[in-house]
Amino acid sequence: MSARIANDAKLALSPNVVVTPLGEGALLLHLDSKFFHSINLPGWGILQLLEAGTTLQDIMSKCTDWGAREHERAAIENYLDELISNDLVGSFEGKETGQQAQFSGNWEAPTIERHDEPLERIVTSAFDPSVPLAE
Amino acid sequence: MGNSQFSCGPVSVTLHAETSQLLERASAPLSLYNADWPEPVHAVDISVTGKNASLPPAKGHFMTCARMTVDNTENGLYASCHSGSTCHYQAAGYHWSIAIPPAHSDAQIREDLVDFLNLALTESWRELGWVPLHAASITSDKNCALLCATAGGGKSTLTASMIRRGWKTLGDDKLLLRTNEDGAVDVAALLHNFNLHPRTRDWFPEVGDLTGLPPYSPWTEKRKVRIESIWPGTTATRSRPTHLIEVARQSDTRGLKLTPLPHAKVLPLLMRQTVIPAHPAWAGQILATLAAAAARLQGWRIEIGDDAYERQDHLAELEELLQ
Repeated sequence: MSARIANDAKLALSPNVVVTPLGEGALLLHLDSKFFHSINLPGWGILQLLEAGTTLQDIMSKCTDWGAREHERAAIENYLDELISNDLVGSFEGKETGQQAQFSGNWEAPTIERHDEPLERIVTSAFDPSVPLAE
Repeated sequence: MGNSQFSCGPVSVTLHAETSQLLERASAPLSLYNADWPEPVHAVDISVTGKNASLPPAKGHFMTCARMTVDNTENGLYASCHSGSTCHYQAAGYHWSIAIPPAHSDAQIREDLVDFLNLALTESWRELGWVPLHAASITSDKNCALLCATAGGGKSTLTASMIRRGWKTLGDDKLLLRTNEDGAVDVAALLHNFNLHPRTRDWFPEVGDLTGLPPYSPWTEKRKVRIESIWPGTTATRSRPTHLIEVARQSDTRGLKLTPLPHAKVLPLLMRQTVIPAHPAWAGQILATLAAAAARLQGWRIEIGDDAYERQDHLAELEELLQ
């Protein structure tokens, strides 16, 4: 059991995060920090549940359907902890919508990798994303 | 009040300015967009007045640039330059209102207008589904490469060197990228100008002496020249990208050194060539377009040595790779 997440706590993707499918997984961009993260296919499946709001209990149940075994619970919780600690996922007050997540393939532990270099927070101009030159 | 009309890619700009000075200063950056656009254009109004706005600066929630900050508003956008100029965008009427304080120097007027007009154009292009891309492009009958580099990284010189080998170009600096209904990704030209350093002549004599032209900004020695005036018949307006090339100057490299770019690095490289506003809907659209492009692109990194353009055979390996 995660030290940070209660079984029935409602969780959702943060509003300042955008996601796009990429290869077999997806890429997440945090619009404030400008850091971006790659997630694998099971991670993308879980994230689709989080896009509509869900609970740890529901995530565990769905992962079991997808092939996760009991001993892999810690890896799923670690993945969620990582999402939360990077402000990609947060608590959610609304009603979860029970969105269907797409997952087809062999189950493996969900992973998330933060890319070392974020995008520039201050850019040269609306067209030029490079870091401004000193004037 | 003076008016002028400009075609800037898919956007048709009607410019209204309170004085002839403001009309001339705002016209200069808009008139650079000289690539033909084959489809119907989207109309945008921009008005420029000389007055003190006396409004607080924008906080930069939407975008923070070197000299300008931009916020979302209920009706569109509000931008301010550090100098005190302001700009409001009313999305419902596609209308931009720029206010420049009358006490501004001519240099401040130019800088502020360039920032606001860049914002107006990039926002308008995004509304049409196009993603602005700060990159160069070379194209042949079958293939098209997007060339990415930091400022002064060698995009223009590499593009010029490939033109001399029979390739065409969509430009060396500003492009648009869009996903079509069939899922394919197109790249479109905006400017058929090159920003060339006068010493480019050392490698390519046909460029001629550029030192008589004014530098195109206070921050560079490069000059703006029309591509067709040097290499006639070498510009293209549309293509379908097949390769993404990260270009880097390396003084300790001999000739050109080519290495494959891992597929996982293709999308991050593309993301670094565009400004992604902190607006979930816009950012999502941009990311989806870039991801669709990344899925179709072969990535390569090219290290360019100081002697890369002294011998034509140095470029043969690159050409073979692209063909």
